[in-house]
Amino acid sequence: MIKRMKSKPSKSLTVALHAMDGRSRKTMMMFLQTTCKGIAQVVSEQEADIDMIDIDLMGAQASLEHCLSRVPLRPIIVLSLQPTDIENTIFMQKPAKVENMIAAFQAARLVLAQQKKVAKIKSHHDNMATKAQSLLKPDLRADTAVAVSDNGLKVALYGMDEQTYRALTNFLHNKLQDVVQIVTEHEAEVDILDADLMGAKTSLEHCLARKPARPIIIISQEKLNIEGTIYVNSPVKVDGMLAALQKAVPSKFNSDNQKTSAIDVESETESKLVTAPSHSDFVFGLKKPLPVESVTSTAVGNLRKQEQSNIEKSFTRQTEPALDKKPKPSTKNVAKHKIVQKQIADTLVAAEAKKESLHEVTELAAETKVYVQSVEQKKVAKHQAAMQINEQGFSGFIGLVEGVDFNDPKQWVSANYNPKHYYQGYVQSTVKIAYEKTIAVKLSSAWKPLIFLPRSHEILLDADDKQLRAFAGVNVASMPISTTKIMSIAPVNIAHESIATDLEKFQDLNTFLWKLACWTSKGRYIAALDLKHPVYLKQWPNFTRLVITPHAMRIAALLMTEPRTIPDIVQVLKIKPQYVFIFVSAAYTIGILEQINSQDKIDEMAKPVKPVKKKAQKKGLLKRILNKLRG
Amino acid sequence: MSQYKIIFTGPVGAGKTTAISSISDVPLINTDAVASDMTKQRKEGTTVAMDYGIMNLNDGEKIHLYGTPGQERFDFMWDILTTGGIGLILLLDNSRADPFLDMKFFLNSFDGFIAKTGVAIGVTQMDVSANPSIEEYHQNLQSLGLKIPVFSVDAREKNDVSILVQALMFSLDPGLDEE
Repeated sequence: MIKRMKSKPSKSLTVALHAMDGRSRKTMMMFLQTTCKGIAQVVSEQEADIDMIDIDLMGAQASLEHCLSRVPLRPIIVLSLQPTDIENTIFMQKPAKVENMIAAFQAARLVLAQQKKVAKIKSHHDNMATKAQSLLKPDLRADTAVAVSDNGLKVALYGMDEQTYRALTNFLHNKLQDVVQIVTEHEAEVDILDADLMGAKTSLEHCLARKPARPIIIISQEKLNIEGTIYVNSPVKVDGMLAALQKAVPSKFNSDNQKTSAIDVESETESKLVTAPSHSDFVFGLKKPLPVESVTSTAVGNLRKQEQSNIEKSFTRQTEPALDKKPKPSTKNVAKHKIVQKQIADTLVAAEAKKESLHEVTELAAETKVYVQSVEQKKVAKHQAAMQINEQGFSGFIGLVEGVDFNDPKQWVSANYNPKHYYQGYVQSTVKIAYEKTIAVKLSSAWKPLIFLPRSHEILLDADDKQLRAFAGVNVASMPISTTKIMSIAPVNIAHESIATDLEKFQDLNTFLWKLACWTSKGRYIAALDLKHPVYLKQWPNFTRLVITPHAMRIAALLMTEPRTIPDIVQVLKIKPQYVFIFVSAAYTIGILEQINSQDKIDEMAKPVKPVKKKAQKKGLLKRILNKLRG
Repeated sequence: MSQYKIIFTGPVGAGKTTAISSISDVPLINTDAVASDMTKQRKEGTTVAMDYGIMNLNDGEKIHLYGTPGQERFDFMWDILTTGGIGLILLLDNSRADPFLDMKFFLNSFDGFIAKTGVAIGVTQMDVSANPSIEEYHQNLQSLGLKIPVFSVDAREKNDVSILVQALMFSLDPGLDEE
């Protein structure tokens, strides 16, 4: 009878949540248990395998530091709206999608497995160190015991099988007995590993990840250029190793040091190394191919990114003339090695491509800007809410213009005004010059001086709205020559202007121009516009900071949909022409309204009219909402 | 009961809760409380993961205002939220490191809903950080082929929030008549 073995279900991971309030915790628990089908269970910090932190929340930084300082470090999943690159963490972008959450936990599971492997290697290494000590020749051990000076550089050996470890140990004790002493990982000052052996990648990652970092010497047949390591060519020579050790810890070496004498002594016996048994040459073939790891994009994201790029660089082979006289390593092994490196590189490239595709949706920036303008907050007038004028208050607010009957469309042709005849024209000239020259400019007249700051788009004027409205309507051109008519524009040093200290006098340029145009218009349209040609809006006016004349939003919504002639707007919306005239004048003045003069552009911009049948119920609803909002 | 909703979204700290409070006719519900229209979808005692307010219309109709504080974490609730929605109010915090990135994120995340309804953008904290300017927001939107109302908003000011929602209404139906 064949007994069917049930496959063991993967053990559910346990996760501790950090920096989340009660609501977030509950939601995350629900998410993990239901939507993510129990991929992880939320437990206390002490019981968890994994930590999860939402780093966009207050207090997250402290939690993150706490988790990162844990020994041993366990996988940390960080949630954020914006991709982060925090070492030793697994990033998961918000909003949390099921597949991403599952991938993050799978990556965490990989990390846990990796840590177990590393721990196993370390344990193996410690065992080897112990065994090697016991296997040393008695005389050598004695020599070693006597010869190792207090200043002997402490090294730990990684990534070697028993035989290799023993051979290197012999070499170091025989040739560099006053220079190094082999110790355990915790005591070492320098790591030495053989990059050509199985497990080398893991060992290298382990060494590179160590904090604080310490020098790493890698031995290899082929020249490796891995960031953060010192390369020694295999087969190892005394001077090569010594040079590497000197580079690793220069402070341990000087001309008076007895270690230097070791070089002189050993150089005579160099040839002996060449003829020594193969293992002492440290010519190590590839026992088996380095494993091609299957990585998820989230795993590549943070925990292994730097190390893997370093390792990838390491397999950018550089040829170098052979330095020794020994026969070159087997080409079969080298070829196999190269195949494996390419496989790893391809996997990394694929993982990076997958990672990028996950980031198609634009990310969110989590942090607050460093530069926050505290002065800006004091410019209260600039950030005041808009005034909304209804039909009843319109005339009183805008003023009246004589000589035009707006109810007679035939008179509309003459219902325009030329801003050059008014203060508006001078202000616009001031603005234009300031932008062209990118300098602060002052408009001086018999009235109030006006300063324009082009970089911040601000107007400085020591006059209230009542005074401005009164002067805006004055037709300067029709006045006899007087000081009122004479206005000059000149550069100004804002630092010398006393008005600059009064933050209440600052106004936003568009806000100022909009109301200036309204008060100059008085219900007329600006002369630059032709009633026969359609106009359109390039963007919505910033209504919260502008005077909202009657039906302004309706006009804006219409002109955002398609170009219309001015009379057409009046007709479609069934409103007084003054409301349209004043709107288009103000919008034109601040540069967001344009007129189309060519038929081609009219055809280009005219959209096919879709018979949009809004449900009467929906239309009624929107209207009721509108009425509610308008009070 | 009506299911009409206006959804307020945006990054953390943009002022969604404050904005809803500004125009809600009832005190804001945002913690451990049961919203009447959510009862059938939740178990008793489950924490409400969003802000909730109500606008009472003259005819007794209610417009539900939903804010999504922290909602960006869990997109599995977005479909539920947007069902029956009239439109979207996107609030962006101008003091954040990259408001354009935020804008693109939310516009992208809600693109299906926006296509069926509409969106208006309110930029908060402009008194704290004047850049980017509203003009720059429009330029950014134009590069995305979008023409959306973008206003500078103080979420504490009822007038500002009201104007923003009004613009949303008008963008949904330019033919709306003002009474």
